[in-house]
Amino acid sequence: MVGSIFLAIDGVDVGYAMQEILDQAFGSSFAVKNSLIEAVPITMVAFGVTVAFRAGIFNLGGEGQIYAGALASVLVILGLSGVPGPILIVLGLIAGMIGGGIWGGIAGALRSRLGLSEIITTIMLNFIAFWIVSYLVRGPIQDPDGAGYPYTKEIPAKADLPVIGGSIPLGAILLVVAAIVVWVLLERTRAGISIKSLGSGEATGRFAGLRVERTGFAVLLIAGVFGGLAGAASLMGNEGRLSDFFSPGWGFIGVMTALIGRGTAIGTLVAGLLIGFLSNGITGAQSAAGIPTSTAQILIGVFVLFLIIVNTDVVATALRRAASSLKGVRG
Amino acid sequence: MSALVQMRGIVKRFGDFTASREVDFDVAPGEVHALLGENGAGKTTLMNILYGLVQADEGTIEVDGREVDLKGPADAIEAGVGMVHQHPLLVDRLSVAENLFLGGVGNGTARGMQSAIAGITERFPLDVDPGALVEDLPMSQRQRIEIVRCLARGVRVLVLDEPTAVLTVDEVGDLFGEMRLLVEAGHSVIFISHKLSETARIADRVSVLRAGEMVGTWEVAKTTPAALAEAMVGEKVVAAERESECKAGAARLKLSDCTVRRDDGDGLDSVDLEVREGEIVGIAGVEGNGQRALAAVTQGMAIPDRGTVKLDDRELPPVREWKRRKIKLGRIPEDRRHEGLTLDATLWENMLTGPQAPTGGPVFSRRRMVEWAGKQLEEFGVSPPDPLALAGQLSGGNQQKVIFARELHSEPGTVVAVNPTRGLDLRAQREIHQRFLGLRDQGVAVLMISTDLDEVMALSDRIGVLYSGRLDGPHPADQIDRREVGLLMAGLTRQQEFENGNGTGGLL
Repeated sequence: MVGSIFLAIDGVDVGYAMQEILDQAFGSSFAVKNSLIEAVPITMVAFGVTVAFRAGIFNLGGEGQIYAGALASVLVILGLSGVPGPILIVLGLIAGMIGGGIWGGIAGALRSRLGLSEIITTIMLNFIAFWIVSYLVRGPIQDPDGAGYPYTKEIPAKADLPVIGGSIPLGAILLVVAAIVVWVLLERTRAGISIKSLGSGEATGRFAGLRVERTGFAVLLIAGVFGGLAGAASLMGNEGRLSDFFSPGWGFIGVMTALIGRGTAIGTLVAGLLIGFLSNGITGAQSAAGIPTSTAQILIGVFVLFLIIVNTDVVATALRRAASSLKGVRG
Repeated sequence: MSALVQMRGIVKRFGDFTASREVDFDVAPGEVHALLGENGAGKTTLMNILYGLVQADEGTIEVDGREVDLKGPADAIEAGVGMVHQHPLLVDRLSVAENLFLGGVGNGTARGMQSAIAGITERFPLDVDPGALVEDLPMSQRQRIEIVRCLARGVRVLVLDEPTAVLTVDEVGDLFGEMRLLVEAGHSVIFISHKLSETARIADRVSVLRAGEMVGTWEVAKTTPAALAEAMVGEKVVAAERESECKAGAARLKLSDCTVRRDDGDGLDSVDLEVREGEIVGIAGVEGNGQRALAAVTQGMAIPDRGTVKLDDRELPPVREWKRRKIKLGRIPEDRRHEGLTLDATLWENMLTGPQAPTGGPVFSRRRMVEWAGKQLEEFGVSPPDPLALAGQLSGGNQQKVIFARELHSEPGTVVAVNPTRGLDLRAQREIHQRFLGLRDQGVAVLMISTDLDEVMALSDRIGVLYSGRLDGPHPADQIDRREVGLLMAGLTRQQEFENGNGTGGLL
């Protein structure tokens, strides 16, 4: 593959590196756990992109929704640290969904009320969320014992998402639940049919009596909920604290994941898991196989690109929809 | 006779389906040759072969007596054959000149193109503004741009693919004028259509395709519309007739002093109208005289600026409130492809859009919905009645039947339809007309807004005419004839009312 060229250039033993990547991705229950943890935020945020995508709406705000969700979650967990663990976990997740939902909902309101393109507003909201978090973790909610690092205090261990059977983190279960929810929404409800008809043009929806603006708002709100949940699940399942280097671009990887997943719940789940496993495998193999960090990143990029090329017609559809949504939305 | 284009023994198969069976077709220099046939008869396939978009499996094509091998549109244009699509393939955001430039007109410089355009418009008074943005232009202008593009590239045979389906009556007249100019200058035009009246008006010769076979070619002057119609459908055409007597009952849909303000005459001006159960009220008129506004206020898509629209004595709310308020009104939209259906969704999903969908709770059982949709589709004669098929894959007639199934399964007491058979072949038209007559006999109140005068005359128990937003009538069908309706459509209201002693106008 193309990836092996890069490896060879770096003087790495290609066969060994490949072996090591697979090993680090699937080789042990520990590896599987890490891979799943990697997959959780990517896939979760991708569900939000998928739902919006089917309505012809481009949610590029996953990043902001992740930060908003993680922020809400960390504030609730640190504020209510006296509450018993299971309840705290539920509250933390709900807080994340609310935080992300608000962030998505703002973009939704701007779209439905003012006709602003969500492509622009969601990106702008990413910056706002990031800088709010950045300010907070360097000031008001900075860990006083953190030697000046820009992060919050660690959440109590009882708020950590449990890992089931040594290899299945609760976040992965949440992914399956989320996939089912998205699937039912899109394939088994009238709302889903409305959302999909909106994605193929507003005229049908309007004629059918759909409240087009309200549906657009709801869709971005739902997308935000998934983004927020991604943030909360990552905070509670892995990171332990909120920092301003919390997300390495999951929001955007999520957009690609949703595209590769062809806009379906199952496809998104599969695509997210694939990317999670591969990305964890490559990262894990870096030290063992002596792959430079930059080459590892290139490998991940090449792999994602490959998945996208496999799905070319999806990309074409996406571009067409993007073009028509740019045209359709005033502003 | 030396033909300009001669296609011989053309065979084209798509999988198991044979779209063209040994078709012979020729075009003489300087003629308008109509290619007539129902939807799916193979007209477009044959022309796509001539334009190089599709390659024939068997057969030969000669242009000017020389055999040509058309591997793509570029070869066809080189040979002198050009095609104008019904929905012209232009870039909306670019100007006319830029589009022509993309189409290979001129030598690549701005000046070269200007002189190329000027060269065309000198010979043919085709009214195009090179600076205008395509998205601002009506469909007729866009087609004209494609014609200019073809001419500028030296095309001598122009294929027009159902150009009139997207044009207004006036625009059709203009187009026909231009077609005449072209043939007088020695070009030939192949005019694809399924409309007999237009064919009779413009064509010199006509060839009829049916199910992929060439039925025959006639000189238009030596044949009759009835003979052509028979050739098209392969059986005697009986126009849908109102056989039973109209038993109109109580008023169901009632417009009082209904006004929709618009500057371009396409609004409504104090319209009063009643549609009673058991009758069909047909609204004739040239497009752009208020049909759209009338459809919008009677289909729950808009609220009139003044006056009221009442359904069964209650004011008609916007359609988004219909489900909650249990309003049952069947609506056949003007644009079935955009308003009516989601083309990339399945039929069962399409059956579940709209206020009358019987989903029960918020989450439904797909199996039950598919089953239900299949039953409805079968009942309404959709072919194939496969609920899992995509709406975009059906022919226009079947798409329309899907909409009928969706809108009528709940047996609404009132139906409002806009141009219900536009663009459909004769068989589908007849089926839909019979459906309307059946509704009427069941006691349904039917309002049919249509720019197809034949349709209005054939079906309506009472006939109203819209002109510049004003409604004349409706008049009982036996008190007004085709000629009078035609006069009203042309805006000769006052004189008409004077002649009729004001007796039949206005409310009942």
